[in-house]
Amino acid sequence: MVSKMRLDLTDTIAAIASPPGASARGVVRVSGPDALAIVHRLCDSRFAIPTRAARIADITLRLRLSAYVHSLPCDLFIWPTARSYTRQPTVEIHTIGSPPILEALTQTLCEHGARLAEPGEFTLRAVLAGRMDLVQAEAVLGVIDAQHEAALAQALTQLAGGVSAPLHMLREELLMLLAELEAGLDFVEEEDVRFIEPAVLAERLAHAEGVLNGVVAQLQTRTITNDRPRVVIVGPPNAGKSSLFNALVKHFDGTGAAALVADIAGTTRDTLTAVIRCGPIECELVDTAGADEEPAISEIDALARTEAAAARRHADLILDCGPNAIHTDNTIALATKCDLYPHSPPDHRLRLSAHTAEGLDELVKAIATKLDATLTLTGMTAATASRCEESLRSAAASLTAARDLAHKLGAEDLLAAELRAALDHLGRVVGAVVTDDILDRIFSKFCIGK
Amino acid sequence: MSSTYHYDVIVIGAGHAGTEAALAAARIGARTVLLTTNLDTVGQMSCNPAIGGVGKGQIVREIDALGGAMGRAIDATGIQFRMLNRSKGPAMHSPRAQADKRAYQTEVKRLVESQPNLSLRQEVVEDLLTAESADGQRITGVSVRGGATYTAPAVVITTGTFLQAIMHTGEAKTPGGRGGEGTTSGISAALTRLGFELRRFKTGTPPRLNARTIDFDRCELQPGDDDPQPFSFLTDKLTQPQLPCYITTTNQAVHELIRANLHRAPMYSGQINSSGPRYCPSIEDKIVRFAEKQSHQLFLEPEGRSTQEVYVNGVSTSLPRDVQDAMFKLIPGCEQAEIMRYGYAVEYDYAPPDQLQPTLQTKHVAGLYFAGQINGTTGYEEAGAQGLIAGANAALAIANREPLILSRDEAYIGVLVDDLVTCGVDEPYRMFTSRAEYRLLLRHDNADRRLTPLAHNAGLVCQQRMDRLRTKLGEVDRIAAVLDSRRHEGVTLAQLLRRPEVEWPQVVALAPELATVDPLAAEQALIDTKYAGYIARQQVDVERLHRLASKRIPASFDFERLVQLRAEARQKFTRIRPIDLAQASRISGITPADIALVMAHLDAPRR
Repeated sequence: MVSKMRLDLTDTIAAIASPPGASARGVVRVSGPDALAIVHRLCDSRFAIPTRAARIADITLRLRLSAYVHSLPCDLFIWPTARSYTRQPTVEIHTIGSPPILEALTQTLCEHGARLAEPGEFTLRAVLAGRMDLVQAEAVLGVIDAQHEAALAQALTQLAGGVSAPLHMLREELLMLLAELEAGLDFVEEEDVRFIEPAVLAERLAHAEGVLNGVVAQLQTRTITNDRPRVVIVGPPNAGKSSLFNALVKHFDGTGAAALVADIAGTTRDTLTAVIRCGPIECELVDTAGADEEPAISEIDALARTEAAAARRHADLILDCGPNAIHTDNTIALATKCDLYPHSPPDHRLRLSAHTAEGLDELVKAIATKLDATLTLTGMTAATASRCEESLRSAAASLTAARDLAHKLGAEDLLAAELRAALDHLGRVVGAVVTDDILDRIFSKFCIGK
Repeated sequence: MSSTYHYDVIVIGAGHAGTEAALAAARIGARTVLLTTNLDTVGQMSCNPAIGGVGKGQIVREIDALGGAMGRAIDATGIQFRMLNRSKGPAMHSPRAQADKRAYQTEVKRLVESQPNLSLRQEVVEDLLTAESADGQRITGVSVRGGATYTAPAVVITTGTFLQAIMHTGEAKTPGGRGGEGTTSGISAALTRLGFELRRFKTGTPPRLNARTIDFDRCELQPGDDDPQPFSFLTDKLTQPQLPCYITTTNQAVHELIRANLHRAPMYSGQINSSGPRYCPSIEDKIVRFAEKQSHQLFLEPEGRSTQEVYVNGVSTSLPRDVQDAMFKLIPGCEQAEIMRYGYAVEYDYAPPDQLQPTLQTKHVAGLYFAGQINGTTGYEEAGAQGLIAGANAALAIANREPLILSRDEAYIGVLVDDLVTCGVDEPYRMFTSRAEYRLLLRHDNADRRLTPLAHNAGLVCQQRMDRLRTKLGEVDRIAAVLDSRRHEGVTLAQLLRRPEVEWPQVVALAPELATVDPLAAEQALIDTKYAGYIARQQVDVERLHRLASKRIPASFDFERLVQLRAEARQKFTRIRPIDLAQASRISGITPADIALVMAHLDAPRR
């Protein structure tokens, strides 16, 4: 399984690290032993690479684009030592968010000694460097299988980002509790050690249990509640999103119009969903309210836009009806209402008319192809999520059992065992506990040694 | 003409590790010689005159279940016995005893002297003899002062704190590993020459007082248990009269005195810079680290029946003599006390134990074993346990038999050895029950059931021990059968007993034939029943561990070639050379990802 990917950590790798698509800023990341030297080759020779972590603003990199050398304004974020995300020297180049420029930049880096990162390779390096705690061995193998660097990183952050902070705090609290319990057991003779009061113990256990249950609930709302991938239509107001939604729904299962469609911008004020089938894949189609460019004129507008933004974040595939849309790993760019503009110059966007059904079949194929590519990944993420949730549920069950034992005399060894079980389950999500973790806390808190 | 003596196993040092090592090797049948620099200090208690304690008491029971001497010696010579943690659940019950220090060492010496296959000799070892073989260096024997040579295919080194030892009392420095004794330098030099890494540790001991000069009326009495429990599975009952200990406390005046003299304490003046144990701090350490505490307890423990010497537990110190004298003048009950021996700190060489295999044989030199404080541990119990394992494995290796390696779910001794060889040490290592993840299984009451059959297979225990165990287990089975078959109000007695509020006497009232059973067998059956659910759950964890442990890493496995491994993981694996994935996963700083990678390569067909 490992051989699927070139895992050589001595290679310096480079890749676009910003989310796909055009945006104000783009990021290219370079990591590996030669990262600094390679970036240096693109800089003015008078520029000295710092030896400490630094942000260098407004530097110009020489970039070859279409056979010409261009000057590209950039900000550099430099981690010259092992204190980076991958624990290797790393440089992030922040610049204009134009996909062709970012690709050219990556290409130039490769010409100077880097190699293009394989899908998931940055994440894998971070995992191997112990920078991530969510992923256990299985997940590592999942990472190796994963196809999409940005999507994977996003999925992992989505899963772990919001929940890992409270879980780390919880782990610390339980460790402290266990340390106090263990101190009372291992150092019974020590003057300084008083066994923790049952009432205090029960109260702290109940609190921890509450926090844990909260996280489980939070995790459930974050994980995909149904297994269908979400296809979200986005674009500026009056771009024809709702017409497209209706056309697709009609095209797939013959039911009639579902969204209120009018030629007045801003007709759609809610997100609408329908289940459609593209080839073998059943997916959820989501229509969003109009664009983000214009200020919201009413509270309802604002509300609808928030919802649309949320839908967009949770999308597996975006159908972008905007005039500047481009194709990416998870976006299909559409030129809608093509029947109205028969003479507009052709561009890379897929020409489509909800009215004449031109381009609909092509779109269906494109959706199926794109979704197929992301499905493996989604499956992995969901599996990790459910493992995560299962571990937390087991941890909560152990805490409940511990609380029941808290008032019972002579059951301190069992209580400690339950607490350890809870920490072990939690450890599958936020890192294992070793004896030294417990002893360190005992020795720093109590004066041990008669 | 120099003399040469031939043996199977040579043990250097006759402390707690050395005596158990020599006894174990001899019991297995190896012709063994035990060399000590002084025949009058065999089995000497250099520090605390006590055996056992939390975690340690369980180890003594295990040593005994494996046929060792420590349990029998303390049963014969103990002057106060207490079961610690009595109120805290059976896994926490820990026996501890005060010893008559002199009687204890005499008893250990007697056991050594009466052991067939074992010779006890007074010798000073000056050098280790080795030969180059096809697989590297191999031990061949030792040379001793006076020009004699001992040869053997296996040598166990148990030199305690005597390697390049320096004692500190205030500004005064004396070479020596124990008050009034010398140091050894030849062995350190030989180990360095053979390629071993040596580091320094520090430990300390408190002053001893004359009981005649202590006013015990002003101290709190601490008596022994009314029903003292023996350590050895061979001892039926303890009948000796017990002596009490006493408790007094320090106060602010004492703390101020110490604070005013901190600059003269070797630990603070910079005279000592090696690290000592956090769980056994000196009094000066306690006062600095826990400055807010108003007082500390001191335990006055008699060193024997026929001596007035009293060990002052809790005031280990290396402060100068005048400060030690002045300190006691401020302590209630000790105002007039005379110091008989001053406290001191000792610095000594140890060999980081990740240089050892799980048999305690060194990785560098075949046939050479280390046990006890040379491995960076503290405590008589930890030393004795390692001695037994090293001595047994030395004898087993010579006989070409399977090694004796206890796993973490079988014994505290398994936890101890695995921690040492897998994680190394960065402070003197002492056992705590919290180090054992299968603590509910590793109880003092079932040490015989866990270990005596294993020891019997290795040839370590006499038939008498096996017979006693069989009798006890037969009785446990009979009790269990009664509990499972008898019913009360529709439920079995076993189910009844599992209810938290139901205790043994209530069950006996329902099944009168249980009134006459052996109390030890009854205790065992009670624990088996009451904790069945938890024990089963730990068994599940144990099986998971065994699955990981079944993924053996061949000795030829080249971690250096796993270029995908992080450099740190690669270095650690190469240094520790874990024998299986379970051990690999316990190395500090090793992540699940590292294990996944190694696993993938172990599973991958050879390219």
